[in-house]
Amino acid sequence: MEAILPLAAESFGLLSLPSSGSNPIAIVFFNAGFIHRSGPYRLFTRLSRVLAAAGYAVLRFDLPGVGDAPSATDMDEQQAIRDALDRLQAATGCSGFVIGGLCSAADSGWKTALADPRVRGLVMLDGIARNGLWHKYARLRRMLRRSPSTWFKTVRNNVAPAVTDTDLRDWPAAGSERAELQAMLARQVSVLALYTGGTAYFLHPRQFRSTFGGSATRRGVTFEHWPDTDHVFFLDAHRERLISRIETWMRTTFPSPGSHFHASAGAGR
Amino acid sequence: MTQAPVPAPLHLGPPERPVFAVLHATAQPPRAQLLLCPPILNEHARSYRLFSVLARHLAAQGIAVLRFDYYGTGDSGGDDDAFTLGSACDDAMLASAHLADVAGSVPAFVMGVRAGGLVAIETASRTRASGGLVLWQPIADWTDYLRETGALDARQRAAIPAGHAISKDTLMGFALSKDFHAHAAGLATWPGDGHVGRTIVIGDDAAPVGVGATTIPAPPSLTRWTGQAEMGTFPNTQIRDVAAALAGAMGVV
Repeated sequence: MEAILPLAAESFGLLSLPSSGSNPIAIVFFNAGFIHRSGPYRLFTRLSRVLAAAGYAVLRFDLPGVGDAPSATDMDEQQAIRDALDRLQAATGCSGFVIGGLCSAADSGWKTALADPRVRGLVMLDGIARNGLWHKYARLRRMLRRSPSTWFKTVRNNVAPAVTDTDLRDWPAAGSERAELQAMLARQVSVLALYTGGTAYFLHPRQFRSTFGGSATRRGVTFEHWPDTDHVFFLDAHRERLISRIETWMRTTFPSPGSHFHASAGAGR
Repeated sequence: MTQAPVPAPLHLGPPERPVFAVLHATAQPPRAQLLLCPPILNEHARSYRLFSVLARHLAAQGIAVLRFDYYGTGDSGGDDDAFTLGSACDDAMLASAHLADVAGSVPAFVMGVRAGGLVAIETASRTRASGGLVLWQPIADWTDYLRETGALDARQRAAIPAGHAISKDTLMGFALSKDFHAHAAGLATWPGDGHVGRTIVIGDDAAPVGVGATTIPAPPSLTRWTGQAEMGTFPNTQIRDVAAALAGAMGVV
């Protein structure tokens, strides 16, 4: 069942609700860039409905300037998110939230998770990661697999580097992400960080540890690298795999009261 | 131009088959009503913001607008393969009836964007739309449209790291219903004699123009999104200008 949740500044969200009972943790997905709330190829419409069937209330809505939401003149992004959480809490009684999404939504989720103590979990799909040595190593390895003519092109591009996807992201100051993750973990925030093979900035799984240091392997952090998938999960099979993975993570990390779900019972990696 | 009420989201149809819609009502009694049939596949999400903003501007001009997602698309119920062009026409009829209830007896227009034009033509014919038909960058040749969309699909697949073979069961990331192509073949791409009222075409210079159609040119910033997989923004002032021109062509000034 889906209901419409009125939000501030002439906006609204779609609230997927469980048919019976409800987990005390609700989930909120933000826009992936300029794609309206249903997500790339309806990813978040489908994910919301699967998670609702698993017992969670799930809200998807448009941030200012995207989809049906008015432009950002009346309310900035963080205000809009705070308002959405307030109204979701009032509508469902849920006082804890799992938030996040894909690309810029992961960035928005990161900022909100730091600022709002109600956030208990963060889903980061192609979220923050720094380049570092492992990225250089993976790039070099990729380049060597190609023909020598592309080597010169790569060198030429490095002389006058183009705008990269990391330039377009809203990430914290370089180096502060370690302390920020530590602060989240100290608050018992659980993190699912999943990276696809569709970005230019995340090329090697060891980048995760080099970005976040020792916190990367601490309890509460789940890291996955899916190098065979693209950034927007173009293939239906990839979307199904992602939906299944997030559902399993939710069920194991935030089990519904009285449920006896174990990781082995759900879909694996 | 007046400040229109806040757009109102709603669900149409029975609970087991919800069709999501957004009503853009007018501040004063409306002078016309317009049902907006969206494009399909990747073009739906790509243009969603454009037509949300356009509807706001039209409502401010005194035109009540109802936008909706076909069943199996966007925020409506159903899996992707539940969408067919035949069921889309039924959804449009449902939405048209709701809009008529809200807007009353003012002239009724049906607008179709790209492939939504097929749905709009069918709906205008079935409802005998008193105002007429509005086609935004209509598809003149369904075969060409499928070929171009298929080429875009192939480019998207080529960007998948693991690679993936082209499938006839999906197009631009969406699972197709078994009768997707059959339904398309049965629908007209251009209004025939059965159409009621006038036709307004919005598009770039390349837009096909039927006999007697009124044309409204749209700037490239509002037309070049077709055939693009990447998302982008649309300039508000140019959307407002097109809305004003459309309101004029509809006789609402």
